Amino acid sequence: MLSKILSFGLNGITGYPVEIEIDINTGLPGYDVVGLADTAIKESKSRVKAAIKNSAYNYPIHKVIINLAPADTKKEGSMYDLPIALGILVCEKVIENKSLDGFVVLGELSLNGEIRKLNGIMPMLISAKQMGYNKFIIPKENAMEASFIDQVEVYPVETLRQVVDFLRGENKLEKNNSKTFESALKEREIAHDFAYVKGQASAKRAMEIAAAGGHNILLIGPPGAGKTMLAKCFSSILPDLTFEESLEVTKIHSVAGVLDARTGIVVERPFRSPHHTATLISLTGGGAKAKPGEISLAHNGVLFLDEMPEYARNTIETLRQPMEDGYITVARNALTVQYPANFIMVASMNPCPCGYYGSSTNACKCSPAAIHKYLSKISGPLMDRIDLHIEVDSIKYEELTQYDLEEPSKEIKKRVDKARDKQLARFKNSKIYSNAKMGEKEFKQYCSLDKECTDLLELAFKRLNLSARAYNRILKVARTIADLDNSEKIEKQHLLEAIQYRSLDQKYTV
Amino acid sequence: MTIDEKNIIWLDLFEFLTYHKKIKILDCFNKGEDIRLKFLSNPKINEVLSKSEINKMAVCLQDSFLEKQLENYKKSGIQLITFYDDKYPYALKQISTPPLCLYCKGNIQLLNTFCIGVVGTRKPTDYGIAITKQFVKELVKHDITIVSGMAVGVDTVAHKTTLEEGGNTIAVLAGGFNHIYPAINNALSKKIMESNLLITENNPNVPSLAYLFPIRNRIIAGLSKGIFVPEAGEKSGSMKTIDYAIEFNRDIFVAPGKINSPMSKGTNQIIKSLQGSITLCPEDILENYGLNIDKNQKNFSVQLDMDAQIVLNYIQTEKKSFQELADLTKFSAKDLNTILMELEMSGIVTKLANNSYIKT
Repeated sequence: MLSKILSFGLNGITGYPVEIEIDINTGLPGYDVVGLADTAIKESKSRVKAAIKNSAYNYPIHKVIINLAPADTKKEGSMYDLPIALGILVCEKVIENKSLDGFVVLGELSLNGEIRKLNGIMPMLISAKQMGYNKFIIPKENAMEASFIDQVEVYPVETLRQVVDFLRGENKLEKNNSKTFESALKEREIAHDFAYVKGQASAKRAMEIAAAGGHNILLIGPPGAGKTMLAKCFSSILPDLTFEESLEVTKIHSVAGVLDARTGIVVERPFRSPHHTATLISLTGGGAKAKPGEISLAHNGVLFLDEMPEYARNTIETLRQPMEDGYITVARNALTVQYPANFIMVASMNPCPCGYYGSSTNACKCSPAAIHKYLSKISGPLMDRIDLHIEVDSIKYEELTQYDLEEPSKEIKKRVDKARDKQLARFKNSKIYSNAKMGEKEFKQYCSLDKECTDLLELAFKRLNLSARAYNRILKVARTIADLDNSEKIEKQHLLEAIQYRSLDQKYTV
Repeated sequence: MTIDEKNIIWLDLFEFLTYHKKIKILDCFNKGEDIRLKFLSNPKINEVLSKSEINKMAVCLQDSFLEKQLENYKKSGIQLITFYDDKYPYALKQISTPPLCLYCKGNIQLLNTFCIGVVGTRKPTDYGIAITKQFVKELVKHDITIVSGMAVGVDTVAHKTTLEEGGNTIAVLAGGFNHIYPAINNALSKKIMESNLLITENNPNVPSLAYLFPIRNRIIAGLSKGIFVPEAGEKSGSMKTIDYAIEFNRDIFVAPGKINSPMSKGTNQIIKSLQGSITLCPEDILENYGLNIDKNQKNFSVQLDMDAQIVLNYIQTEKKSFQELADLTKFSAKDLNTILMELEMSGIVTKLANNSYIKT
């Protein structure tokens, strides 16, 4: 007796159909899986057997052969437990194969017949929908995540018995309610608000500019100055995710298994802060299964690198290419996967190894050579990709004890949103969304200066010993400042402010 | 090139010969005598040098050896000025231990100009940096050549400010040209070579050993008519320079500092023992040499708008951080950024580490 059931597999964040064929034949009792299955699939033997028995069905005392087609692609994960169990039950004539027509079945089994949560439901469903499949049986715990995909029939299930009853027509299953993205947006709350950050006017302003133009930003300051707090507040002033952006983020988070099952979709821009002991692979993605790394998890959000010079040099240098391209290609023995990695980098560092160079409260103990060595841990090309450098000083006690609130993130976000709208209108016909991503062509077109500003910039270069690489950065930031100011042209004051943010290009120490 | 000059250059090739040994060797021979010809036959040599030293030197007696070295110097653009050269700076001839040969890169005309040495701590405070800049700017305006040691800190600020102002500067190195110290100043040394002057008394292969630095300081003191010390710690190398300056009868100008600041301990100490050395403004130095102070120039001012003037009033006397200025002036971060940048560009304020500002 033969059965055929459709399921899905994942390659990175794109799904592909997997047909599960089961043949039960005479012979010594056994369980054979073919079709390049990994250990998790081979171990399904015990789970499937126990689940079927504990759901009060008979497990065949015959040879069971399971084929996962296409046979030449590696398959992994526990999502095939449920389709395999159903396939065996079809062969045992508990259910009819016909009742499963058009269904895509996904689910991991527990020994008692319950169906468990899976990773990567969202990307599989999206790919399946694009290929024309629109009926799904998935674990109940993944229901929220699936509810944001419209025009599909999704049946969330809790137990094997429930599925069988449903397929035999003995019981009705409720279809998953679809939810709109807007409703999810309303439910979120802001965790860190600039209203609670005392002082730091210049740093806040710099972050506003970074958020408005999508610029990478580096915070430099002594320990305890509030760099980490500022960085955490940063996502609260970024523009809201659009639905498309949110789906992209959710897909990656779903594959990596970090998606919050209660909300089912990522509504807030991700904020990832890998520790500085993070390995290269954990940042870029990889491993045997080519999982997405931190930079992909930060896609459409913020990647926060606290104490940047403490990261291993080769680890941090690998960020250069994805920062430029907006995606990363993870190549592994078995598969090659492309993950999007379009993030704003917020980095923080101390000005010197002891942390107190130039501090108003503590004296620095570092030799100039030590400071130079510390600063040069971050290479020029990487520095080149950071548009804004801002120095943060520790706050005085009097300022800490003031109780009045500062400007809330909500207000700052309004200005950021306006500036972003201007940019979206400007880059309407290209693939660019923000000033930071401008290429040579757009740069020429939108960052032209009049005579007065050209002279000013020339003077700045001479006076402040700026390096040549600062040129493009200054103009891009000036463009964003002009956008915040609702000005079509880059004016003198915009340029002057933009030059402020290149402190590391100048001689930082004497 | 005379025989005497060749003698000196040949002796300079041996790193193990100290200054005093070289003098002793020269004393063993008459003026105009070729040391290399008589090196092995002169019995007095044995009193000055050990056997192994003589052996090391004996294998380098051929003419071709020295010629090759001279060729190398020429190739790498090094000009040699020996004690017997007409171009040898007059000021150095007056001191008790004049360097035998100066290895120069750059414009050697500067050696006989009006020089003031600017030396100080390697870890200047904001105050030290600010006054170094202020004094150097004023001195350079009167065509004074700034002599310093290219160390980090005050020395570097002095050199860089001079270059920015388009003035002349001489950097005196401790080691040879192949061992520029600190390496961080490699770029600076290249800039100085271009239109200014880099000198040392050691051949290019001598590494910058610690003992060479205090010896080098005598050249800074010797070349200069006066030494200005903006900030120096208690055991600073600058104190050594001051000792030399006293020995060579040079003028000493010292800026007073806070009595509890470690970086002003040395300078305040000098003021205590040499009361005449106290220097409160660049004019104190200029007046000492009868240089005209352009009264008009002092009053020159850039046209500042109201807002800039308000900000400037707050940083008149001491440094203020951005946050303090924002709190005091109630300007938005955006406006304050623009105003401060404008002030910085016109050279009225200097930005210090940690986002604070001081008036220059």
